Amino acid sequence: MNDTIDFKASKPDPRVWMFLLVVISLLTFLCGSLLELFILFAALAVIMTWQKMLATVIYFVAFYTALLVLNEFLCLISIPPVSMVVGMLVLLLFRLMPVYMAYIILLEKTSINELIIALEQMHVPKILIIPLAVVYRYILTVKYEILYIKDSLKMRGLNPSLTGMFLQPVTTVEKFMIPLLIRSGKLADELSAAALCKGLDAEHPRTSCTGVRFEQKDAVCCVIFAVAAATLIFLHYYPGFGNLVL
Amino acid sequence: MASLKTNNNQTVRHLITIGIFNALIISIFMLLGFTIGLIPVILIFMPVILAIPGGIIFMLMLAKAPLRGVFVISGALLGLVLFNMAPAGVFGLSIFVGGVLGEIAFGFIGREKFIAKVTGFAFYMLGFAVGESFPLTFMKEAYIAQEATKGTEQLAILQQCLALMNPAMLAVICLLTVIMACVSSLWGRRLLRTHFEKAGIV
Repeated sequence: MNDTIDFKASKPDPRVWMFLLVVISLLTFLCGSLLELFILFAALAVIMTWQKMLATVIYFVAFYTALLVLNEFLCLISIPPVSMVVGMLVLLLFRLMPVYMAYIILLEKTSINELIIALEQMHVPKILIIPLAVVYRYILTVKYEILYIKDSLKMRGLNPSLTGMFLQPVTTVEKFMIPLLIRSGKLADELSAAALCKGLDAEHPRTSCTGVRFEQKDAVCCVIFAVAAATLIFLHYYPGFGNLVL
Repeated sequence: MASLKTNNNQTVRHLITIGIFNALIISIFMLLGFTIGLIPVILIFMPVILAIPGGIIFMLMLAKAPLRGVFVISGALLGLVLFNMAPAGVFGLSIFVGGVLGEIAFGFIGREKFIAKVTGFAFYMLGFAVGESFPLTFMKEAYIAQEATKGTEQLAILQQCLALMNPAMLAVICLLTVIMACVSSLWGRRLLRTHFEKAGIV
């Protein structure tokens, strides 16, 4: 009963996770061999473990292992067109997974209010902050919206698969897009009302009782990420490193 | 003071609507890009295919949130997501520039006119098409150098794509993208009239 509520901003600061996302995006772009991507994956798994996201880590490790097995299987059985397309998809997933993991960390460890304050402190214009914050929150919901619509289309005897799209493109696109747009439009109205109730349209700058600040610890985290990234880039361009094979 | 407050309310509503519809655009572009876009020939013509759902979404977004800067915001958001998909961030920058040009055209022709919406969206998609095709046409060495370390399968697919690309093909893709953007905008307007206006959503 005597417990006091401790109003503290989540640590590390949202800017640290944003910096991590930028660094990981650049690294997956610059360094794309399987070994380098595995190093990135392992580093992010360690960061997730540090942030007590154990269930997420287990899920990603299982998925990564499955991809590795599939990749080896494709190397053993070579069916030219299938191997090429599936192989490309597997490699693409290897490349995207670190970025997705960094995004999941940002999403789970940063509340939307703190993210908005952090962006305001970085002097990002409000006209970009609000849509960015909405995209950041809503993009994961879109997947579920699409699945709901697919289910309702199946119940009405329509084929929402790729086959259906090729057989009846206009009908499928219309039947798929209209409910999706109606749901999104309604959601936009509800979200607008909720945002206005919370005072998102206020003239004066936002205040925060949790004290969102970029502190020394956050700077140390950013330096560690930057040094790790610089090391990986150096090893990428170091000739001896390219000869290593998984 | 009251009118200023109302104006601010309206701006926030519009910004949230733009955010929601951009999340939808990004999701659908990603979904299509990472499924059918893995086939080299389809990857080359991806902007033409993506203009179809894009046009429908954009027409509703412009009807619900005709805010000054809608194309710039959309270009910035999609450009940010796709920034590292091509060497030197050409893809992201090109989409953003397309958005800026779209906004200029949208304002210059007249924000209430349908032709302004079509032109704006055509510029936005043209930015996407140039961003995807320009590096494949004029930055082949940079692309191969970038992908050479990433496994032979990726390099093989990339080389197939590069073999298809030349300046004439780039022009064809840009032209087809603009045509498809116009067609899908017309389709979007038809859907607006037959479904959304009838339902009182717009």
